Amino acid sequence: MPTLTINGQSVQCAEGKTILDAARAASIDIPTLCWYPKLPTAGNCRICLVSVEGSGKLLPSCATTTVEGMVVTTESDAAVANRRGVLSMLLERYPVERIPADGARNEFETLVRRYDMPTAHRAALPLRKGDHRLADPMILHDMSTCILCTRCVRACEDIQVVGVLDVAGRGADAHIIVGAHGDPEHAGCTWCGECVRVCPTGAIHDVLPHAKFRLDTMAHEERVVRSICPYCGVGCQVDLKVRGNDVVQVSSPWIEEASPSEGSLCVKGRFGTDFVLHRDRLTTPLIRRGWRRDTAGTWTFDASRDGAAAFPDRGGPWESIRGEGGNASHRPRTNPLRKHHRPENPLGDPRDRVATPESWYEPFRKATWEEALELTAQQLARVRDAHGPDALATFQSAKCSNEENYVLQKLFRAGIGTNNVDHCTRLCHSSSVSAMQRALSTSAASGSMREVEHESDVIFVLGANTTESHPVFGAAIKRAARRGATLIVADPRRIELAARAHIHLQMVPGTDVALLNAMLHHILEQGLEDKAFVAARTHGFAAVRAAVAPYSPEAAEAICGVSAALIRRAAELYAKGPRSATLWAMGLTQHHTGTDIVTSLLNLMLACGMIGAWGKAMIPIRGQNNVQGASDMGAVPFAYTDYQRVDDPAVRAMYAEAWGIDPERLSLTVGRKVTQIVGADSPVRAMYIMGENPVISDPDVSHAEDWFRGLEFLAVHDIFLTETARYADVVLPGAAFAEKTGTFVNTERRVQLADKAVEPPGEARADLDILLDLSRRLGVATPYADSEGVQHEIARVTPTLRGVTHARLREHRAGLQYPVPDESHMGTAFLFADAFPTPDGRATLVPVEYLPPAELPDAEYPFFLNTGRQIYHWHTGTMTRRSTALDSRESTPTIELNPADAAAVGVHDGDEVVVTSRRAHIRIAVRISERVARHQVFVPMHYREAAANLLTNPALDPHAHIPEFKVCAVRVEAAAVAAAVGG
Amino acid sequence: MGYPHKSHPRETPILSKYFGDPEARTLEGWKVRGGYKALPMALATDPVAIQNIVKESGLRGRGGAGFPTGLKWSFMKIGDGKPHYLCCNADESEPGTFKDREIMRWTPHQLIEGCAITAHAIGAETTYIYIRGEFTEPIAIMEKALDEARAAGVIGPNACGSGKTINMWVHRGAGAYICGEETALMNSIEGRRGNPRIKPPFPAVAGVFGMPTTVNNVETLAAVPHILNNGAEWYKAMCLGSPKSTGSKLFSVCGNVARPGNYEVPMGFPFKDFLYDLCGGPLPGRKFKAIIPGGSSVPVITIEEAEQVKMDYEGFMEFGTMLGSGGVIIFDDAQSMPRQLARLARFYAHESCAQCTQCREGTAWMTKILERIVAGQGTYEDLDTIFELTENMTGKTICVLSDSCGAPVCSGITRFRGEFEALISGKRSSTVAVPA
Ligand SMILES: Cc1cc2nc3c(=O)[nH]c(=O)nc-3n(C[C@H](O)[C@H](O)[C@H](O)COP(=O)(O)O)c2cc1C
Ligand code: SF4
Ligand code: SF4
Ligand code: SF4
Ligand code: FES
Repeated sequence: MPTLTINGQSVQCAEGKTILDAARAASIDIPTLCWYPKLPTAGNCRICLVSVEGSGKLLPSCATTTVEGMVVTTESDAAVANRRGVLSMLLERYPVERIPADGARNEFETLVRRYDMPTAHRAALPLRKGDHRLADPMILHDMSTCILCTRCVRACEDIQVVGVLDVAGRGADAHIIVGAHGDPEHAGCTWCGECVRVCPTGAIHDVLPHAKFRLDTMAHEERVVRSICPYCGVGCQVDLKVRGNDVVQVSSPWIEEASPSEGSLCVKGRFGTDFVLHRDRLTTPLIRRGWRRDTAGTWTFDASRDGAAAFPDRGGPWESIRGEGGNASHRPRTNPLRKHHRPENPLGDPRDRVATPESWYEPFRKATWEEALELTAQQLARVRDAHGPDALATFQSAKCSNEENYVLQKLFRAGIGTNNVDHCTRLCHSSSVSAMQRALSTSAASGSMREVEHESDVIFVLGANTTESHPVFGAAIKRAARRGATLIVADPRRIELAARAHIHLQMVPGTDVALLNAMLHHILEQGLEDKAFVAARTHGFAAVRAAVAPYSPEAAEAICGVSAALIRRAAELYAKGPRSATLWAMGLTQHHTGTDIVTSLLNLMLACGMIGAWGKAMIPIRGQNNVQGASDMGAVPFAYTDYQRVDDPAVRAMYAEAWGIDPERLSLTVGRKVTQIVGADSPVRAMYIMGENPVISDPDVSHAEDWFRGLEFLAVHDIFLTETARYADVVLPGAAFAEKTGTFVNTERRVQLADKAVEPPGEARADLDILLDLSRRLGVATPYADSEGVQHEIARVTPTLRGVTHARLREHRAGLQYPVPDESHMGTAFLFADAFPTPDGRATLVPVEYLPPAELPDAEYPFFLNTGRQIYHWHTGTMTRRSTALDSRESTPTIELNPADAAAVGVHDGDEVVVTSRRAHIRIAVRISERVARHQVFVPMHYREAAANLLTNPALDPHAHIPEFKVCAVRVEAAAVAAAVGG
Repeated sequence: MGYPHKSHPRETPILSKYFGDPEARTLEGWKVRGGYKALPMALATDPVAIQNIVKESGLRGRGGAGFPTGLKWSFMKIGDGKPHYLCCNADESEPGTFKDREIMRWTPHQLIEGCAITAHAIGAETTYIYIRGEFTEPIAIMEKALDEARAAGVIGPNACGSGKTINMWVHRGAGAYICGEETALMNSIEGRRGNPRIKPPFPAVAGVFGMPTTVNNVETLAAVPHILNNGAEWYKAMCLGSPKSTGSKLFSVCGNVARPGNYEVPMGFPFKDFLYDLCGGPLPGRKFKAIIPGGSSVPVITIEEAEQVKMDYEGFMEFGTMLGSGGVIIFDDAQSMPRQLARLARFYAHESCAQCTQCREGTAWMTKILERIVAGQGTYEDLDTIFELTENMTGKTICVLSDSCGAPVCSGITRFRGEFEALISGKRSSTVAVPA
């Protein structure tokens, strides 16, 4: 702990810290330009030089390590003279006339003012140049203000591990380049905007959502409100800059602030939230034509009224998803980005293209809130009274807050009396939950993202395309690999992480059990299992040992196409750790054997003892920003909050008491799951859907779409008139993420608070308001005024969240990782150090056998179809396709096709093909890509006009009822050929 | 030897003895001329003992800074379990310097032997010889000699049968002066942009690939076998001036002089004799005016000053300049100093790696001013600005390229202010530059 003197003040700092670190800790301000926290030190701007006694030269405070007894003067004459020298040189090539006469627009200009620099040019040198981004929808450059601090270069290379930016040229010609050819697309840019965040002058700046402001004309925000990115489960925090009632800019928290993302964002979080301002936002409640209230106050539907006859069967003037997907009369969906190298505006305003068609509103009339809620309450009650509570169901929302989800499940459980509550976790991680429940009695990640980044020696990533689906976590994994962690990736596609991995296990889709059993087989054969862990902390090892015995690596090679040698190497690396992290996502779960697949992974993990210590993280990576929270809140058919089972009378009694109702009003029957609610044999006749879009997200959507049309009553609560909402009787306009306060749980069990920044548009209301109003109408007590009050009740009934209050979350902005057993508890970064939450504290290994996918390619349907996400879009596209920036990056549905397959099919990049499964066909543009193996194709799930889920197989996992989204068999033909054959 | 001229009797040809003798290039030829005697001996000697001999000899770095070589080697912690590296700096891009080129062209095995001994002395198994990319002929010769040495087992996994591994590779530069700076050189070897690194950490702590590394100039390394063969005392005895400067030194002479070339003299040799006797004095009808004695990066001095100098590190310092790399650039009375210095400034502006603000912006700005003055459009304030810039550019940057730009220019203005003022006041154009 050296002690030094800075400006006469005695300062102590840790060993190895720089003068700058020490000064900052003591609140002594040394000017810096090239230095930025956590970036590698470049020491190139030379403005931070200070005088140090005994040194003949000024020393760079950002790069000079402190030593005992150092005497530093930060504003000595020499240091100030140097600073003025640096500033004067930088000003020579800076557009000085744009510096406001009485102020400063950025860090650099602030220093110019601080050192009282004259701003006139003396040398007549040319302004600095650099690569531009032409017509970029998100990031623009004004390189005349670049001071070559290289922060952007280092942020791109060292935080995001992308390496698009660099310095080219020498001397005065040095300038920032975007890839070798000035083309961000080709250089692998992901538009994360990390460069925007770090640039000290605004030379690299963002394009603001509603107007393409230049730096100079940028309207400054009036307030900054901390919220949470509405997209994936990483749970990055965002700062919403608000002016009036508009979010004018989104930025990330300061890098040194504790937050799950350390202030990083990906393209979606930084540039993809302008959907909030989209003109499609629902601003009034809508009621389907034909509904009318009589004088007695009863609502009835009569198709002969209000022109409703024009829209039979809950329909409207639109094509079904099936019709749209397969219709050849649409203009060919070629990939426009391919043809226009640098599109000025190839697509028109994307907001026009993806906007909700005007005609979709035709079957509806505007209504008042009183009408809409009265009708909804009446109909829900009517169906309940006529057909029993289990004729109703709700889809809750992984995009809504804990409080909203809690109130909605309470409404259905206490108000209706059914456990038919579920949400899209069913379609993503339900098989993880069922496997983890069975093995460990848990439903969430055991560890943290930071621990993977900093501690794990081996990182095993399965079926998770993190760099696209969870980009900020993906970057952390890349940083971990760079620090020396061994990366093993199991994925049928050669995704970015696979390309960077030490081992890529590129297996045939759906053969994971064979692969994982074989890894365990080899580990046992070598005696590499953690014998002490197995003996002390698990059951069922012998059965699993027996079960994996037939799965020699050679046997697995025959099934999954990965060489036995590679399987062995991966197994040894994983088992030897010493600390291995286990990460997975939809690639494992969305199979008809999803639970088995995850179980085989858990067996491997438990046999090697890779859980329960810092660095041995088990993380099922969550897809939506509150899918963990919604599940925790009881938005699942089998449990109240905290996975307390609905069929346990004691639990029921506890909730009845907490909610002040007769226990008999709560059902003891486990409810139906998403995939059981929708289906021919479902007894459900009325539904309330909050913020979900099953007409795109369910498997085999053409059947799902028909099913929703057959309902007696459908209320949809959303922010846009989605593909599902268009079939509703009542549409309730809710609030977008920026318009409400609530808590969210990220993929590492971190509960965070999002604050309200702006008012919802028009008459739209905060979701909690809507739900509370409806609850009261259905006779459910709502003893709280706002989400903070709801959180108090959640804390009371949820042991793991007992210590969570909004006040605490405001104080600990980084959030609290549950369990948080009391109000003094600081949260739990990793779980299971000593025991698992099972009755005897031991985990259970469960033997599983490999079963092939439910549908395999054959002569007629020769390709494996894989579905999933792309970086620029998210889920059914409701939000991202209404983001100007995101949709202009990826505006067209594309199918990834291996070059050899493309040649065989006879198509080129951008051509249109028809993809046919046993259920339906879609027309879609080709993207030739070596990421997919031969005989495999990949279709993203985000596009209504070519909905992947028209094709997918609704085969269900018997335990979790998750559909097999990841494997089905399809045929791919050039559109022209298909047309000829089809006549 | 005053290669390409006949050797001058007052030279002390040690390194340059076989310049011009093609037979010396081959392994056999070199052995016949006394080569590869020191290496087997050294390999059987404790590394620290070799370090001590070199320390004792007083050998100092010939790349420019004159750092004591033995001391530099002693920073390498033998047996620390890390791979050590030796980098031979053969980037020789300093204007006016061309001695390393001749060592490689004529006596490649001299360098290989020096490298091999040094590698052993610092505990390195791998040596990179980083050669300036434009040196196509020396590169070819070095590659050939290395092949020969490897084939003969002189170097390689069992160098000279000693059981020691001495691997040696040529790495070509790609046309950047800055890659001669030792940390930029290391970045370049690693495949990165050749930007100098912040020091500390010094190369001996974290050099190539983050491992302990020693960087030495070609001439420094080439001297090592001779020291081992003849002893430290012998080397130390070559000293006509300051006892802190020992051995022989190659000087590359260019410019307005009768016999440009490489001359090897003992340290402390009188510069006057060197200029007029060895190098043959000025061209017919001309007079010497100014000299940059140590490669373009050092201050310029007048001929009057030069005539008093003893040619060693301390001797040049006495007159406000440096021995540097030993590149003697001579200007006669027909040269315009403003024009010459503008040329030099332009070189530095072009070669700045552009990391440091002062260097990137300062070198360009200074060039702009000097060229304006040369074009007859300068002002008196311009001269003040040059001094202000030089002040900002000196001692404040990551490496000393920035200082190197200001040094010749400012010393030139101080010593030849009249020439600058004549241009500014319009009395004279730079093309007719004979001072009044
Ligand atoms: C801008 C710059 C260029 C340099 N170029 C060379 C060079 O071409 N050759 C060289 O030997 N040393 C060069 N040096 C010096 C090296 O950094 C280093 O000091 C030298 O190689 C050490 O070897 P020595 O101790 O044997 O002299 C240069 C230094 C600077 C600052
Ligand atoms: S663009 Fe910005 S961050 Fe990048 S070097 Fe220039 S000033 Fe620095
Ligand atoms: S990584 Fe996820 S949470 Fe973070 S900004 Fe991107 S989409 Fe949002
Ligand atoms: S002084 Fe010049 S050459 Fe040296 S590191 Fe700085 S910018 Fe590069
Ligand atoms: S902040 Fe230290 S050199 Fe730039």
